[in-house]
Amino acid sequence: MNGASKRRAAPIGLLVLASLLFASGLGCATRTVYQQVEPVRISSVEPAGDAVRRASLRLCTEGLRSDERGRSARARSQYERAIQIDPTNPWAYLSLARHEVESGDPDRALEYVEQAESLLRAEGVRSPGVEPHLLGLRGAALQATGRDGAPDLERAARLAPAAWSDGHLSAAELR
Amino acid sequence: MGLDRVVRARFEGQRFRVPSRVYSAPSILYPGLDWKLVDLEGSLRRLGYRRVTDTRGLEPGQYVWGNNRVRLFVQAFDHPSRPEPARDVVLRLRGSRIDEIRELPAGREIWALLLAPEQIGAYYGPDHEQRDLVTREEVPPVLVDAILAVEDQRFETHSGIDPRRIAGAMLANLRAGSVRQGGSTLTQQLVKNFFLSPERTLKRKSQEAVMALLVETRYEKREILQAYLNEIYLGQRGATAIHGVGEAARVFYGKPVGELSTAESALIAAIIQSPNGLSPYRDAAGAVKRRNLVLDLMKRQGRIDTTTWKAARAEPLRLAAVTADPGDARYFLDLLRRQLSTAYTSEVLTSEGLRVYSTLDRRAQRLGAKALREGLADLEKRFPHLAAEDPSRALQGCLVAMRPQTGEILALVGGRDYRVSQFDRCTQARRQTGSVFKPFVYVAALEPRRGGPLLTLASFVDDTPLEVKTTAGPWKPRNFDRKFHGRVPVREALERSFNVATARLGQQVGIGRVIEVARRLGVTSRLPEVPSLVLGTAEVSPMEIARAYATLASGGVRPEVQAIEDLVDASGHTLERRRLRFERVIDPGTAFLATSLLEGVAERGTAAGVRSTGLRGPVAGKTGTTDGEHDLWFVGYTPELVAAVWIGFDEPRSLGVPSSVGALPIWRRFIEDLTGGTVRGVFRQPAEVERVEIEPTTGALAFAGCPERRPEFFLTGTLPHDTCPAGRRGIADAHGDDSPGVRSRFFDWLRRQM
Repeated sequence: MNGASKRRAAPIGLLVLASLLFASGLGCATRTVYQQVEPVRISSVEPAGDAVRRASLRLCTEGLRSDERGRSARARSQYERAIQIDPTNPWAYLSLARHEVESGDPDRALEYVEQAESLLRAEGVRSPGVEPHLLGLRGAALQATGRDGAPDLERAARLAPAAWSDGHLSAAELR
Repeated sequence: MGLDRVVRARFEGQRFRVPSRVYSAPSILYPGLDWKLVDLEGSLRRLGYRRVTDTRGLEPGQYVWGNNRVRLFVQAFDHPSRPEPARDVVLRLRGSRIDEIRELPAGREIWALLLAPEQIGAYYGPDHEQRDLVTREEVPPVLVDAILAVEDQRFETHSGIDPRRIAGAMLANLRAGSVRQGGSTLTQQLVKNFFLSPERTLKRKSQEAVMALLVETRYEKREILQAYLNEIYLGQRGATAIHGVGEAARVFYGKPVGELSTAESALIAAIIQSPNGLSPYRDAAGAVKRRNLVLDLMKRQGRIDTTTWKAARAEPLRLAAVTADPGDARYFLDLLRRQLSTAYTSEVLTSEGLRVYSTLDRRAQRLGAKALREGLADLEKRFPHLAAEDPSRALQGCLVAMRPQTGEILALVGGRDYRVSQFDRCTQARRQTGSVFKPFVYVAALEPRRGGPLLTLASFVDDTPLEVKTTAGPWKPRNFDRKFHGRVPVREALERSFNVATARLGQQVGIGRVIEVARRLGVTSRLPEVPSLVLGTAEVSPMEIARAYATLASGGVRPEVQAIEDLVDASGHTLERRRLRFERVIDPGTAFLATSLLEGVAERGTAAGVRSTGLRGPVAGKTGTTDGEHDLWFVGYTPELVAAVWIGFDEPRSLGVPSSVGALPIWRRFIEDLTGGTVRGVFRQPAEVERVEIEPTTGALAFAGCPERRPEFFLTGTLPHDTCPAGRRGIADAHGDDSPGVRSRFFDWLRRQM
C-alpha cells in the first residue's frame, strides 16, 4: 500500500470505526428507552419553580381532581387558568392533552402534546418519568384519529407499565 | 281590536332588546402574586366590591383591608361551564406580595382564586339601552315592596287603572298649581314605555288607559310586574340608558339584584319618578332624602317593621365606583364584533343578550393604551413637526400584545383615540415593515436543510456593494448610515440592522424560501417575490408581525390568534368554546437561535434602548424603520408576552425619527408598567442547541490558549470546522473545558468528511 492509498484509507477506516461507535451508542440508547421508569406525577413537580409556577401547577392538580370527579368543563377551565397564570407551564398542556384524549378531541390533544414537549425540552425537563406520558398520549391520540399510534403506546407501556399498560392515562395517574 | 293586536304582539314576541356584553379574562389571585402590581384594589372597585370596616356580617362583594391581611367575600361568578362559588377568604399579605389565601371558616388553603371577569363593553342597538334581564323570582320581595309602596300601592287589586290614585294626584296637582304628581299605575307606566310616546295629550292618556286595561285582562299580574321590572328606565350612564332593576342593581351597587338590601331597594324605587334628577351620583343627599321617604311609606303601609325601617334609614349610601369608560378597549370590541359577525348578525348581537368572554387582560389593555397615548404625546413634544392641529390627521400608532404560547390577545390599542378614528391600525392596516421583517431571512438561513444550514451564529456575512437585476432595473440596497461594512459577524449584521448584508443573505437563501418561512411563522398578507422583500417592503399588519414573533418566542410553535374564550347565550347555554390551537412550524433549535440573535439586538444593537430605564430580565426584539421614516416599528418579546408597536401617519409621510426613538420607548413603557420592571422567565436553550466558545473574529472553535473567546449557540452538528489555536481537536464547551461530547464530535467529524 503506497502513501496515497494509506491517506485515502485512513478516513474510511475512521468512518467505519466511528459508525460502529455511534451504532453502539444508539444501541445503548435503545436499551435505555425500554428500561422501566417511574412515571412522573404533577404533584411531585409542584415544589419546584417560583410562586407563579407553583400556583399554576396547583391549578393543574385541581383540574385533574375535577376530571377524576367527572367535572370535565371545570377541569378544562382550571387547566386554561393554569396557562393564563403561567403560559410556559408544560404540565398544564400535558394535562390538557390527557383531558382532550379522554374528551374525544385527539387532534387537539396532539397539539397540546407538541406544546408540552416543546416547553419541557426548552426547560430541560426531559426526565425519563415524563417520556411515557408524552409517548402514550401521542399514541392514544394518533390511534383515536385512525392513525398508527400503537408503537408509541407500546413504548409507553414498556417504559411505565404501571400507568400505561392499559393504553390509558387516568387523571389520578397523572395527578 | 287594533290596540289589542299591538299589545299581544309586544307581550308575546320578544319584549326587550338586550345588548350582548363583553367581558375581560378573569383576574387570578394566588400566593406570591404582587397585589400592587395587579392593582387589586382597583380591580375590586371596578367589580363593584365595597370596602367596609367590620368583618362581622361580611357579605358577598365586601372586603376589609387590614394590616397585612385582606378579608374578602368573593362574589359568585355565574357561568354555565365554569361557575365560581361565593367564597369568604382571607389574604395574608407580606409587603406587596400575597403570602397565603385561606377559605373561611374551614381555613383551607387556596392556591388560585378567581375574580369575576370585568365587563369591558357591550353591543348596543340604536337606542343604547342596557339591561340585565331578571325573572320575577330573582327580584327580592323587598324591592317589589319598595316599588309598589311609592309607585302603585294597590297594584295587586286594581285592574290597570287606579281611580283613587288618579283622584289623589289631581288633588295634589291642583293644590300645587302645576303637574307635580302622576296618577299612573305600574301597568300604565309599562304601557307608556312599551307602546306610546312620552307626550302628555288627552288622546295618548286615553290610549294608555285602554291599553292598560287590555294588558290586565290578558296577562297575569306576575307577568306584568316582571315586564315592568325589566323595562323601567332608571337613568343614564354616559350614552347608555339603564333599563330595569337588574341593570340598576349592577350599575349602582355592583351586585345581582337578589343581593340588594332594604335601603338599596328603596333607593332604586325612589329614583323611578325622576331617574336623572334624583340620581345618587348627581345628588347623593337628595337621593338619600327621597330613599328615606320610600322607607317611611313602606313602614306606613306595613311592608317593613320598625327595626328594619330604622336600620335601613341609618344605612349610608354605598354606591359602586363608576367603572372606567371602555374607550381604551373599543378597538378590541370592534375586532370581536368583526369576528362574531361571521356567525351572528348585528341584530342578534345588539338584542339577544349574549355574553362574550374574551381573552383581554384589563390591566394590560389599560397600560397599553396609556403607553401609546403618552408615548405619542412625548414624541410630539420633543419633535414639534410631528404635531398636527387637526386630530384626524394626527400622528397615529397601535399596540398589540399577546401570549406567545397560546396566541391570546391581551391588549389591542388600534389608535390613539377611538373617538377620533375607529380604524384599527393593528388589524386593519397594512404597512411596510422595514427591518422587523429581517429576522425571517435569518431564520431561513439558520434553519437546517440538506447539507446543513446556510448560517450559524458564528458565521460572517458580506456587507459590500450589491446589485441585483430585477425587471424594474438594477436594485442596489444601501445601509442606513450610507456605508458598507465589509465582512461582518452575522450577529452584528442583525444587531446593527445592515440592509446590504441582509439583502445578500436573502439572495443566497432565496426569496421564495424567505416567503415560505414568513408564511410558516404566521404572515398572511401578500408578499411579492422581489429582492427588496427581505428589507421589509411588503405591507403587513402589526397583528401578523406580532404572531410571527410569537412563533419564535414559543420555540417555533405557531399559535392561532385568540380573542374569545367562550360565547354564552342569554339563557346560559354555551354557543362557542375557545380551544387553544398551535402548530410546530420551526424546529425549536432554530427558533432559539433566532431569539438569541434578537436578544443581541436588544442588548447591544438598535434596540439597546429597551434597557435604558433599567428593565431587567430576558427581552428579544427588533426595530423597524421604513424608507423615508414613514413607519416606525418595534416588535419585542419576553418568554411570556409578545408586543408589537407601530407608529406613523395614516397618510404616509416622513416622521424624521428612527424607530428606536419613536416606537421602542412605547413598548418599553408598556412592558415596564406591566411587569414592574422585571421580566419573568428565561429563554431556555433546547436540547438540540449547544453552547460552546468561539474566537469572535474568525468564528473558529476556541480552546485554551485562544486569545479571545466568547460563548455562542449552535445547532447540534453545526459546530465550526476551524479551531483556535489552529489544528486543535475536540470541542470546547461554554466553560472553556476541552471535554468533547461523543455525539457532537461524531456529527461534526462526519460532516467534515463529506
